[in-house]
Amino acid sequence: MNTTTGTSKTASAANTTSLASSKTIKQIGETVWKNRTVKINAELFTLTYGSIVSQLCQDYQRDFKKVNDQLFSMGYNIGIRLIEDFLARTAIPRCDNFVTTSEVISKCAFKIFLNITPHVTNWSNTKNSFSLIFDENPLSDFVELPMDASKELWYSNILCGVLKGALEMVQLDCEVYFVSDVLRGNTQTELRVKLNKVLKDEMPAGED
Amino acid sequence: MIYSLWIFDRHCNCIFDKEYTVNQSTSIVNSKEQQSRGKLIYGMVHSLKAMSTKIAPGNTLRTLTTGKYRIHALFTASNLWIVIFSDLTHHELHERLDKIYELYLKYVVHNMLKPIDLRESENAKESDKITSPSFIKAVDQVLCL
Amino acid sequence: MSSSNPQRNPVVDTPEQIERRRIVEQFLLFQESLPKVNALSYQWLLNEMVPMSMAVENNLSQLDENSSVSSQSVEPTSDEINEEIHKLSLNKLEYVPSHKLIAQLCHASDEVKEKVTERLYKIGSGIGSKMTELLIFSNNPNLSFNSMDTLGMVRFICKEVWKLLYGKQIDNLKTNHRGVFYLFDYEFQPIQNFALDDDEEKLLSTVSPYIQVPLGVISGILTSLGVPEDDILVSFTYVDIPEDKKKPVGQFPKGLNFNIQVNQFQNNQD
Repeated sequence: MNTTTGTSKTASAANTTSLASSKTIKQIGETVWKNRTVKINAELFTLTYGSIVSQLCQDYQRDFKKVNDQLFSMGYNIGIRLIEDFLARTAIPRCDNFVTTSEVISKCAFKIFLNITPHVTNWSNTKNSFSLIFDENPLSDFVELPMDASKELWYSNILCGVLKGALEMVQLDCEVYFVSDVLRGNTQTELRVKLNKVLKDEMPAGED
Repeated sequence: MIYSLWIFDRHCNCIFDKEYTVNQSTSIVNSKEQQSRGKLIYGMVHSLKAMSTKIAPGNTLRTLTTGKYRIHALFTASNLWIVIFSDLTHHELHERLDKIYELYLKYVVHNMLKPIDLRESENAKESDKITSPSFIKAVDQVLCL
Repeated sequence: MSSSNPQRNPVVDTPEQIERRRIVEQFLLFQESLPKVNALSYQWLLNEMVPMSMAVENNLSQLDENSSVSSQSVEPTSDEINEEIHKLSLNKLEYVPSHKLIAQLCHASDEVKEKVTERLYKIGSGIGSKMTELLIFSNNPNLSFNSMDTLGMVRFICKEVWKLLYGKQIDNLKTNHRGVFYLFDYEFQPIQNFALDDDEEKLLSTVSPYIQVPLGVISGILTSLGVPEDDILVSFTYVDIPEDKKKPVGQFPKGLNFNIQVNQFQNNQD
């Protein structure tokens, strides 16, 4: 055995020194989706999520702000676990900067889990917040909101929670929220990710 | 042969350790006596890891060889560390480290009935240990091939 | 391509058989071409439903308390209101991890359990009825819904529905041919990784709410295929796994027996 080659998995990313090239990131996402992902019918996913949202609307008596919150915290609980699935499949190391992070989220994470690649845009001057624009969204395809919901409900708010939880586990304290949604009659679906701060890794006792 | 396996969480605490005897017929899991040793190992790996990145950015520690031991390590972006101690016959164990990570996924991450963060509260000094019998069994299958 | 088949088969297929095979192939190709997502994403969604349902229950009872308190006491100061808004605002939620919610549910009062159970069952039946549409419009040549009797519906659940939802079929189906069906799944996929070290009894009672979703699915499918909701009774029991289905490690210790009872059982006459 030789030390240089490694396994198919470790060869994908961990052996490359950095993730600077967005082409590499795209490749990792596509390879994992193509070769190492068990897939299911997207419509089943859509209708299952739909059943959850409609149950929540009923439970909270159409108080859509509470539904948003519930979807968010549901997502958060998923995100803090799902991040490990992601890391195990991609072996992606910590990103050097938030621009790389945005690429990894869009081309790798969304590709692998939902088979979509929302595009990254609207960077703030300080490069610490960006938007994801969704041309397609398997959570909400073919969904139509009733009138009363279309002003307050963020139908896909679970995504914000998932991102929030997952990013926190790699020490990125972020705010994640929807700015617009085609379901509400907006021209596009835009999700904003804003970096509050990079959390410090904990240190072993006595090494501060 | 493989001497021992150590897993550390993001709070720098050992959440699993397993040591094999010379003939690998018996092993000790999550032993109380090893607590201080776990801290030493963490400290050592921590320093080396920090140093290797200082030498060259993106340069990550993977194996470390001493006179009689070889240390193999896997670090995830979520700051989970998996460390295996072996003798010098094992040049690289990345495949097995990956497999241990897979087991961690299956028995810890995907087990919704148990916490993902094994540190009970923010003030707690130590984290709990992974005690799942299936995990322990499966680890043996990976390490004692 | 089917052109290579006649060589292996000495008997030449009838045109009907060839045509049928072509239709089946076409169907499979079409299924393959449909949009897909990662099965893991789906698994996370399914698994998070139970703790979420408990969290909803907690929130609803808290709302009840708050409203009854505020009606008695003096108006809260603006500071308090601000604090409240702050707490509820996006990204600042009070967070209870899933495993704690699941444990809370296990120790909850019967009343709470019942409410959470019902919520999960309703989500399940929502999924079930929409799945029927999905599968009807899929034009599967192996399915004909026109002349489907109750047994046909249950078979449809065992095969198509289970396959789509859980990636495997029901392992065994038993019926008394009088409206009672037992569906055995010895490796019910969503719960396979669930474990509580060695306490099996506690494990089984903790996992029980998870089974409400498939129970709801079953009833949703049957109602959407025309069986009146009041005539359907579904429940489940844990069963031992037969020797030949056992795995040495990493398997949930029990299998499931889904019990479907369709009352006023009549053969579909038309």
